[in-house]
Amino acid sequence: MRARVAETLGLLYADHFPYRQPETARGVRRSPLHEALKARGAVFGETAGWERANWFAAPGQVAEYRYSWARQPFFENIAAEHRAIRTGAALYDMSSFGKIRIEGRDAEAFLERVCANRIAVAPGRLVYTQMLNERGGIEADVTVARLSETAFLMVTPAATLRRDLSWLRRHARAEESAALVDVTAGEAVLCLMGPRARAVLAACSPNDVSNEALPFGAWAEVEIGMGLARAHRVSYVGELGYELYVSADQAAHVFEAIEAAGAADGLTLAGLHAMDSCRLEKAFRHFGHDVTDEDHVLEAGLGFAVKTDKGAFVGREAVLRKRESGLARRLVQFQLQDAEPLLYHGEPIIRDGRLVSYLTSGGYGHHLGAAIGLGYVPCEGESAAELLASRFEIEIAGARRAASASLKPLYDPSASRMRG
Amino acid sequence: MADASFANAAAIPSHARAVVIGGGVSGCSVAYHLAKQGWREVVLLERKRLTSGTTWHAAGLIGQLRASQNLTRLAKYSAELYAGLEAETGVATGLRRCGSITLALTAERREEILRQASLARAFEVEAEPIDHAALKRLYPLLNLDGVTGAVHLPGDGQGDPANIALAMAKGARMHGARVIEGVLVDDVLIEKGRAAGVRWRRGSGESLEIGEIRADAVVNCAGMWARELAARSGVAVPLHACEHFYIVTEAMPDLPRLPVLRAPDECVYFKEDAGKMLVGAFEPKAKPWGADGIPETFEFDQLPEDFDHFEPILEAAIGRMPALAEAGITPSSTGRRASRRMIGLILARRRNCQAIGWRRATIRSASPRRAGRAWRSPHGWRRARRRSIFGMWTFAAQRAFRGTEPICARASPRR
Repeated sequence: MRARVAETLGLLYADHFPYRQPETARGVRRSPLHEALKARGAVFGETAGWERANWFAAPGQVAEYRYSWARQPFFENIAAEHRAIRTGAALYDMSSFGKIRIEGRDAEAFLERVCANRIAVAPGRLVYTQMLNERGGIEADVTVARLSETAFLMVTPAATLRRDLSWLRRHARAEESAALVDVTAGEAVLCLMGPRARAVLAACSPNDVSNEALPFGAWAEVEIGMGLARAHRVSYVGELGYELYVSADQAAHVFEAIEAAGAADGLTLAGLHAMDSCRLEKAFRHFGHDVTDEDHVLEAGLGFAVKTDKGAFVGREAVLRKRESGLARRLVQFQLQDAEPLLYHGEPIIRDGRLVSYLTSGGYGHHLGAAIGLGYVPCEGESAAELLASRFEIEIAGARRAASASLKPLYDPSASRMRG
Repeated sequence: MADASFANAAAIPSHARAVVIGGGVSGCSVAYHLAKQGWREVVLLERKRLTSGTTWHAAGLIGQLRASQNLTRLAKYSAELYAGLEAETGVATGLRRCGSITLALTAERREEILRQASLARAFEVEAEPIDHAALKRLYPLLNLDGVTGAVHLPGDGQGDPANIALAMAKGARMHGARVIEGVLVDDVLIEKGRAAGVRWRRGSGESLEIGEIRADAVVNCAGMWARELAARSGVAVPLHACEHFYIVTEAMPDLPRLPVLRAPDECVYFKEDAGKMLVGAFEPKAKPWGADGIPETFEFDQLPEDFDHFEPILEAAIGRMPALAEAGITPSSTGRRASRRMIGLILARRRNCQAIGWRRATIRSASPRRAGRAWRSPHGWRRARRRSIFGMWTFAAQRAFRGTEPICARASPRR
């Protein structure tokens, strides 16, 4: 902390470049794949103490950040990684995911009470869910894997682990039998994503990984090389893919096995900047930016993950009230018509010439070919059609740029690619 | 829970609804807002005298634009609050809506401040890019060399941080809170994993008194002591003091009233106050202070000079505002340095002279800009903490200012 504080004071007046990474107090938490990725050109950023591969330098390119408000030197690297995710197969390291094991006789009842989606599913299933507060605000945006009748694994972003643990512990009842354990460091997570992901996995695993055997929203244990992994059929980039949870000691071996098997399919290493640009195209929300404890789950467009018919849970009444009263605002996805300008977040949203709101997140849609942003637009008493019939612009450094708006994801609105 | 001991103004009560630890701007603000919201039996304990930690020589810049909408709302609320405090309490807060200007000296910085101006408008803060002519009009003393852009925030202001805190302390008392100086909190009492009160100490030797206050809520507003205090209860509060470098000139002849000026590319800010200039630095590599503990006697203390650290920034400041070269430097308020010197002269003679560079230990979150937030929006505060500029891993600090909750519940000790 002493080292970091010497930097943070100076950051007040430093250039606040997009993607700027801290320079002090680094290297504290490293993935089991850290050295392997570094040897392959990874450039690391830091989140919650974790070193994370954010992009990969090409051979001969300087493997470090050089900042600007315009296209940064690694813009093309991200574009290539993004392309691999959309058209081929890519592997990125999400070992920094927070992992909370919830186990015990009452684990299901406890999770049903704190989660908005139905958690009482069969073992082997995955559930995307929010944890809500009494106002319907989103306290956490997580995935829950049912490992057995009595054990669940909650997966959350690296930056929210402590927050979520605290939220869970505060809602646990003394008479309930359920243990909450942070198992983050026990497993590495390798995300194998893209239309060729299945072919790559099949090439290094004897298990049946077909859509029938391992459909979207399920997990299965699979062998990879001589190691074992739990393959979760989910995606934050909107493609066919697997999050592979591997015991930390076997992570390097499994990584090498996938890398070797993937060569034939052009497997590319990707970083988290590419993951972020893909999720923006798919309009997947990011906790802390697009969804927070002050954003109502229905206005965030996540009503599909809320099951009010399952019985009582924290935030249920607020959801019912909002259904009654209607949405005061909606989270809208924007794409600039001009391919050149860049969005980062915080840019004002102009509706029919009037400033109404601002972007909660922004980035470049390398597949869609222009900058993409998400932001809430006030729409009390309006229908979705009325909202979308407006003329939208995004203001960047004082200049207004025309934008198209959508309530459905601009990329693959039917989500067929992810489920394929 | 009525407590007879609370009625006795001379004694430290044995029970309170809330104990606020620390009499800086944060603690005074929390006590003021709790009392004003109708909380009975609020006690504020200050180890020495009010404001004697870092509040008393904060710069007092009251900016409105913050990184998030909630923080911006709170900053705007702070400015409004300070404007009304004098009428409410009779204590002058020195608040002046003088506006502020941010300068860009590179093309990249220009892009940044123009983007910030857009963001400001989204957060309903008035912010306009201005050209060189307008800049010269608003700030005649400025050297425009190398200026690539400027943004003017007319609603920004400045104030007197110590008096703002004292005004809130007085307001807290007026609403029934007890504000007690010279009482040190040694520990937070913990029962069943929750804060249950504090253990305090007053005086020393023969006159030593010790005691406890049982409380429903305990609020840690200990500023640069907050981390150490919380650590005793197993809670991580990622706050750390850094040295701050600034000078105050003597009265400069014909100095007009000026807005606050920031030149981040030169790591410097300028504040005109009563005909004098305050010039302060936010240097790229700061000096952490007090990592091995803060002296027990610390009270309105200043730190030894480190002119080598400050010199390059001061030099740039004189380049940006040449009139400073002719200005004398005001001695520090404790009068340690009383000789009058010219800034330019000191720069030339620095090897032989250790005269200037009064520094202070400062904690950003105790600055008056952040006052008044804790009650107004606990959620906003949590966001602030998440992005706390002093935070390395700030998550464990999320509960610190939730007001109605004790901060020392052991729900999330950092691993």
